[in-house]
Amino acid sequence: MDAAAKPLLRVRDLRVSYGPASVVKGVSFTLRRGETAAIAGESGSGKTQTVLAALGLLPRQAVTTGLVIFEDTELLALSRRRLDALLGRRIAMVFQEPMSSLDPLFTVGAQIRAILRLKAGLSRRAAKARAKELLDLAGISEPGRRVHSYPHELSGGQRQRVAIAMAIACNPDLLIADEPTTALDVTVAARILELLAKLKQIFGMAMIFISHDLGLVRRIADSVHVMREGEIVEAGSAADVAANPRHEYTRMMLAAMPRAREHVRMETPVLLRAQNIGVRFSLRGGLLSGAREVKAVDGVSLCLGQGRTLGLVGESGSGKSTLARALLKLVPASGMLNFGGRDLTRLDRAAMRPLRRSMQLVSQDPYGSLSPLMRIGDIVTEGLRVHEPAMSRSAREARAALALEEVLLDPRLRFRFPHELSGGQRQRVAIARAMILKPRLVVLDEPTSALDRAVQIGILALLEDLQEAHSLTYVFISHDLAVIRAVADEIAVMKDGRIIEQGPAREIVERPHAPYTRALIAAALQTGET
Amino acid sequence: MNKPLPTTHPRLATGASRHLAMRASLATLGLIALLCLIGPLASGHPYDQVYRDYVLVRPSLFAHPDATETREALEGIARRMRVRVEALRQDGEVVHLAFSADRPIDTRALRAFERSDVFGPARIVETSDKGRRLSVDVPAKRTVFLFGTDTNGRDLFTRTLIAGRISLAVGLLASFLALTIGVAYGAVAGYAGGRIDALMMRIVEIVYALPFIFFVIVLVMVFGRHFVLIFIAIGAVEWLDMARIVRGQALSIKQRDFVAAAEALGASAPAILWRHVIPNAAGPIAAFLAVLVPRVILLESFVSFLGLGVQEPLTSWGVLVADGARNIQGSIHLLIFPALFLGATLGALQSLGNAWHGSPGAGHH
Amino acid sequence: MLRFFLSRVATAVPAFFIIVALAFFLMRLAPGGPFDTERALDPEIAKNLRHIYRLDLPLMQQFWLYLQSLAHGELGPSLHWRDFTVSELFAKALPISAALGAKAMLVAIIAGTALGLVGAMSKVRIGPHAVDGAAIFGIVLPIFVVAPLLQLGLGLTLHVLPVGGWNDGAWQNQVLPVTTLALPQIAIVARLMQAALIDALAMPHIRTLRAFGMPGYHIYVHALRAAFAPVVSYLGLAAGNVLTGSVVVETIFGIPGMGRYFVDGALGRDYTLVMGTVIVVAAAVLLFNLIVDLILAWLDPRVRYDSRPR
Repeated sequence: MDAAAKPLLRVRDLRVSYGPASVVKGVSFTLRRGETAAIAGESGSGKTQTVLAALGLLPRQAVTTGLVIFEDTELLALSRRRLDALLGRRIAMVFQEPMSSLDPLFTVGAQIRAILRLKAGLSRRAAKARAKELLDLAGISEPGRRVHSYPHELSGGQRQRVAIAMAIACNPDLLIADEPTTALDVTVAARILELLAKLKQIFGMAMIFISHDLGLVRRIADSVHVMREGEIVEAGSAADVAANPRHEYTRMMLAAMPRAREHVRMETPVLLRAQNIGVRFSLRGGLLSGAREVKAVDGVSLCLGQGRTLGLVGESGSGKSTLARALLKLVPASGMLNFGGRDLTRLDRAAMRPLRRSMQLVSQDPYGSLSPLMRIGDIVTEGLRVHEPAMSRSAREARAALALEEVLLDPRLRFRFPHELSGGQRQRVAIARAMILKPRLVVLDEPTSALDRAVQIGILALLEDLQEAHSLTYVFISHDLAVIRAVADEIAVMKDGRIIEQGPAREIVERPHAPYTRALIAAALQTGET
Repeated sequence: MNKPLPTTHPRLATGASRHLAMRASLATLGLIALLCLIGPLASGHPYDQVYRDYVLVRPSLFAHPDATETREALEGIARRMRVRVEALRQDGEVVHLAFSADRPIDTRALRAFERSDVFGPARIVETSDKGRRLSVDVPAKRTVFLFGTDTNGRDLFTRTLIAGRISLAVGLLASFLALTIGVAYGAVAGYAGGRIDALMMRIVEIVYALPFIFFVIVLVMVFGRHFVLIFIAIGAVEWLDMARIVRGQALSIKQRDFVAAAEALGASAPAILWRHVIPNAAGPIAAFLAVLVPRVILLESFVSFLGLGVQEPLTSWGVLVADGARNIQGSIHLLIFPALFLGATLGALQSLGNAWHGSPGAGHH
Repeated sequence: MLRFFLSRVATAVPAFFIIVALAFFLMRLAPGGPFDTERALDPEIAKNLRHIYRLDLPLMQQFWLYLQSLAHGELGPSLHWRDFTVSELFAKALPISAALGAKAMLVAIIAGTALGLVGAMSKVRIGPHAVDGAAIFGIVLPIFVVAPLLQLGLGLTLHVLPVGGWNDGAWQNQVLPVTTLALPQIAIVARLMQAALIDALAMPHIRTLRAFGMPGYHIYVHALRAAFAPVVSYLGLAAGNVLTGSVVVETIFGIPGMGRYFVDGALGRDYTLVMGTVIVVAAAVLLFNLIVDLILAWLDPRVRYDSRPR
């Protein structure tokens, strides 16, 4: 254990600045051989900048100072050539975006072989064989066929496996994984984490794991360094930090979702009934080329009572957002749709217009859901301009102020522009825009996914209060089962355009039937809970 | 990586030079526009006035006529009057002359002085020898040809500025036309999507397969050669790029959540296009406009250069450059001045567009 | 790849016919005819002429006849040069224009790429700006200004090269036209190449290569391949621009190519000649764009799955 006791990597007082802006302010940490250290922090906390700076990968404008000692070598003082000799061989890196971190113009086999030949010094033939072995090791099925694939032909999880295969190609001592699972769905992410843990065992690597998700980090890291605004605010063993977070920021990152809804609601009259809803997209709408059809939503039926919340859970690409839009008749869909006793199936755009005010949409991205060039006041009252065109400007302003107050925002914000608001504020504006028309049904498409946990909890509380006050009916869509469990009366699990399991919330969470639901629950609830 | 590397910092480094370039281009454009607007009024020469005595005069700051021009013009008039010049003395603005002839001189012939571009009306000082000797005072006109004159003896300075008016007007009007058509077409295609989009864009692609000069020439040939038709013709082809850019923007803006929100609110398609799609495409539209205006000006000069554009005596920079190219041997100023104005305008617009787009290397938005 | 190729051809062919139809009807609808001369022709002669050239038939029938002859590769008789058919005129003019255009494109690609590479690779901060600045001159100086200046400098003053004429394609006669034609394209290609390369070098997958400590040449191979896509897709446009330019260059240098015929034909309302030029030019541009699409598909595997690359 002598070798293990000696630190593999020591970072001392690392600082990075771009001109006057300093993004990393004196970061120090030590990594032992075989240890997994996590750097956790929210976006913009400087965690990625820290490792890129340590490896000399920052653009030329960045000024880096401090000490980065790998074994006995000071990395920052090395020449480009000597540093390059270490990179790839002894230190390897896996990036967040598996789509863009692979070259789209070369087959994955060619990219792995290039590393094997140029860094490991293998012959052409040896590299070819080894590339397949590495893909196999990274858990890619049919590696012999996959070496000829281009990155765009692979799924996100497969791409990340390729990136991992590249990283372990030269059997490195240190693997740096920068948010390797953030862009992936939870079930895929869970398998990637298992893979990383397995490979770490096999190769005896040390690992630096960068993540914004402290719950996730806790599961795989030995030690945790929590970063905020370029500084490490808290460090310690993973279990310690998770159990007794000392810093307020850490506590906020660990903040848990409220447990499932306590009170059981009455059965209420049906507000929304959908039968056999189907949405097809034709890929490539060229005039002559044969269009391929994709069933985004395939025969979905559901039924929702007044004042209740349906939680729709599924991973990206499962068709849940498309279903949401189909329920609001925003995309052409087949099947039967009934809202408040009225058959919507045959209504066209103009006939739908008067009904629109009773059914509203709040969408995921608080950055994208507000038109960046409009004042908040104009955004909030856009619905009034459509449905009450006779209303005077001053009356609209007054309504805007009221609507903002209802979502607990300062009414004076209506003179501002979206970019001046925080993410949580923006989401409240989006909610106000929907509420101003006094709708009966609100479809919430991942309303909290882009927000930090603490902000999420606030938004969920607001939504619940609004539901109580106006007897609203919600369709709440999320990939995050923890959120769904907190808000939903009923849960429907979606996969590949179909609902595979549906029922009362508690029953689904506690006694899932479908294996997929079980995997989802295992992946999701293991992390978010204390 | 969860956050792109800060891109503002590389820009900071070049920010100062970008501002400088932007200001310099704006100043150049302003100066040229101002000159074209008021220059022709102040130059003292109508753009279509022909000075027969001053054909292909070289550019100069000094007033004409000079001594040789005076003598040459005088000899010409004397020949026509069939008289001999006995004495010539120039006293400031006034030329004192003495003529003699074999027969009495017809004083009506003195009107030739008035008609010339060099002199004013002659005043008879003294008649002697039964009208066979005549001494007259003739005031010399003082005319300045800053840029010289063309092959017809027209003032190049005035013509260059008048040409500038035409070129700039065509540039702005045609760009505006292209902007209107392109934005409307592209926004509709992109927002409608699907088959409508495919069809509309196929039309664009087809028109695209014809190089625009050919299209413009066919249009000019069809509609005839008229100032208004030139910019309509140019605008009618230059909207294609604009349509493509706006369509691309519309396609991506359509995916943004605020459009879905507006649809959910029940806003109509025109309202969404007007309130959400077009304003959010404004950046790329403006940036492309800065590329479009110089291109249109260049295209107009192309067409005019080929003799298919603006007709004499009106002129544009392209026509003037074509003239200059024909007279390159001996009278290079005919090429240099219009080319300078054209080049400066195009260069300023181009670098304005560049500054807008961002400098190289900081080109990611 | 074959499917991609066929789908591109399938879109190019109808495009071609639409252009033919568009040009045909547009021109026939224009006021004024080919026999409008300074002094009015004898009505009888005019009628005869119209009959000979079949201008008295209904429009649709004229179009049908035209398509038929087009199918045989015949572009009809020239209305202006009455002893020649358009095809005969083009037999001489087309090779000249094609040679000129192809050489200009080749020069533009090679010189432009080289300049762009130099700019993007330069270690000094001013490097990219220098290439950019120089390129602006190339872009804004119109061909018809550059051409006479070159004529004056190299031809009339230094007597190094002939000022004009084709002289059966002697290289001395080609230098100035090709240079003039290539200059703006060199500038544009250089700027595009440089910008694309700088962008490509900042891409995440290039950062991946850096993170693996891959050697510099390897990184540049990857960046160049990514950077070529925008440059190649510009070449489709460049073909159009070169054709445009060649009209002017042929006029200035007195080269008997297609451009001259086109301008003369347009001025003289020589329907068949202008139609012929439009058709040949459209065919050339469509063909060139097809090649560009194929190169793009070869460069970027993602394009092959997408029948419409732009």
